[in-house]
Amino acid sequence: MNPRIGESAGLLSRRDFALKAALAAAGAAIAPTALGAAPGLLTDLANLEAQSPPSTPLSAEDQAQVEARASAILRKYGERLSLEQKDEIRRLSTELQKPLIRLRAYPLDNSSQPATVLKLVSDAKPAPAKPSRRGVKPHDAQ
Amino acid sequence: MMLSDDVLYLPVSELGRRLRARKLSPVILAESYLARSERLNPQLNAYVTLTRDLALEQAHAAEKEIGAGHYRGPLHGIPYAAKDLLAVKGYPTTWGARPYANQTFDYDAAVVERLNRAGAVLIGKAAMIELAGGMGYRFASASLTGPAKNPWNEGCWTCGSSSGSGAIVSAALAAFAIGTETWGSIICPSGFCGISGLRPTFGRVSRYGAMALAYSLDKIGPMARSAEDCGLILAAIAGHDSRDRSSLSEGEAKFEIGLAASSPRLRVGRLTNAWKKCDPEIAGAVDDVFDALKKHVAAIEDAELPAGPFDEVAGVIISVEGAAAFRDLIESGKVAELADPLGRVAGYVNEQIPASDYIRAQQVREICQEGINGIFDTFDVIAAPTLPLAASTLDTNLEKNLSFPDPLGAIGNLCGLPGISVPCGFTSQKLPIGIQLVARCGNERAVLAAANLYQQLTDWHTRRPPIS
Repeated sequence: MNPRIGESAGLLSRRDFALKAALAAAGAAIAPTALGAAPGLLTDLANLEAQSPPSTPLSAEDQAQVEARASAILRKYGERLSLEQKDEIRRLSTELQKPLIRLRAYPLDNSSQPATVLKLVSDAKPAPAKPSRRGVKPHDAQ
Repeated sequence: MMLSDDVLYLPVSELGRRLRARKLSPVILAESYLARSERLNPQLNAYVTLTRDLALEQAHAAEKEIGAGHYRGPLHGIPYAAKDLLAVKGYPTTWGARPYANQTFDYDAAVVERLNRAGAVLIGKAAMIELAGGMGYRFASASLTGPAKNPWNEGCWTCGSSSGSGAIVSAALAAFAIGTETWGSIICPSGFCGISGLRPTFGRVSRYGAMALAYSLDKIGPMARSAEDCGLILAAIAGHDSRDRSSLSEGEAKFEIGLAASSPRLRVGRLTNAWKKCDPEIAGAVDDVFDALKKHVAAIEDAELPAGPFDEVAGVIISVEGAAAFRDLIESGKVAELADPLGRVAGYVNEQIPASDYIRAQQVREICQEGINGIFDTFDVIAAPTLPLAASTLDTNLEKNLSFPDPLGAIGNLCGLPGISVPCGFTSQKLPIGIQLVARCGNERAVLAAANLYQQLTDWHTRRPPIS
């Protein structure tokens, strides 16, 4: 990620919001297309990221959110996770906080409408029958 | 008799002409692609399933119909592959993931129905990244069938999630393939594999019968050898479908062949902020594209994408919608069966994203739409390198080394914009380079016209990988 954005996120206006932080660990979780590079270029990009100043620590409030999130996951699913996976959950919970901070810093007001629109159904025709899926459902599968 | 590589690498447009004129047999064409696929698939991991029986049944039907003078159109008798998240009656639809390895559906996806009506011949189900990457992934091996290998260099990846579709078209294992994109999954494999791939406007192609990853972002589109082919295929698969809640009205969804925008009038925006850093070889190849086009279009000028946290917005929306789409898988613990270590845990984290953040992301999305729409008052298409890098090696840790901002991908997908990637050169390591062209919603004609113009001026799209 580009820590400069994190540092000043609270002050950024819509216009000023600088170009993107790299999607880091949780980014790969939330960005289905983590991208690849040829070996020769890998070094260049890795160096580019390394040239950025170190990441700003999370505020106490953000850290508390991270811990609450990780605790909720471990409370619910901890029994099925290995120690390594629990560490991964904590790391991903931390990484997730960074894009959330940037998103929350974006100025919006009460009249900012979301891109979720109710599609009204105005005719009386029944909805088409939903075809069935056969075979093994994931929770029954081995 | 098996057909030569020269025939198997022909574009759909030319295969169609030969089939219509009965200079080519649909059965022999299907047999030839099947034989090539059976021979090369173990090398490339491009298919999950070959549908030999169905392919031959459809090819024989096409031969009979064309012979009787009943020609359905440019896809009649043309062999293709469908990404394995599209339901095909009677065959497994694995979604690329072990928990769904035995899943079958008793109906065809809408896009398969449409291709059936067009007389196309289904050769097989294309390999893919598990769940189209919906639970996250760190390695190219995140697939039920292992890493798809790039025909240009088998030590390199095809990109994902339409990984098999990219390899299949690139290696001429079928004449075209159907891919899907939530964020980059058509554009990236098209770039890495040196083929032409079209991401249609959101809602133009019905997703009925397709695995859902992110309900407000998923799209289905063609991957082929040329922009012209992409247009032919789009015309067959586009159209309203009441079974898909996001389907556009028939007037908006329909795409007709032969209505391409006039290229001399095209205004092209050369994006200056699509990538933070770009390999100089790739930047040079894309500069050459603008040089080639400048005498043939109305204008080429610098353009800038609007600034905003759009990568983050797209990420949050995909994460939340993906966690909802695969809630059963996450809660049951069956995510543990996924191939990728990141995929086994990321869903647990994504489930925890607050609803208020999801709605906030949807609010910023509206602002993003306003911002990008304004650019298209000045430009018909905006263009940038498809990717700032060429294909990665198979063992690259994608999360650690290669996650970087992709504002054009984020904005293009958040706003449902059509985009195409077409090949425009090679690196010194002989890996394909691509350029992507993006237009306003509904204006596939502009991206197809610009890409088609470029392909008339150059021959990069006709190059073949060193595999036979």
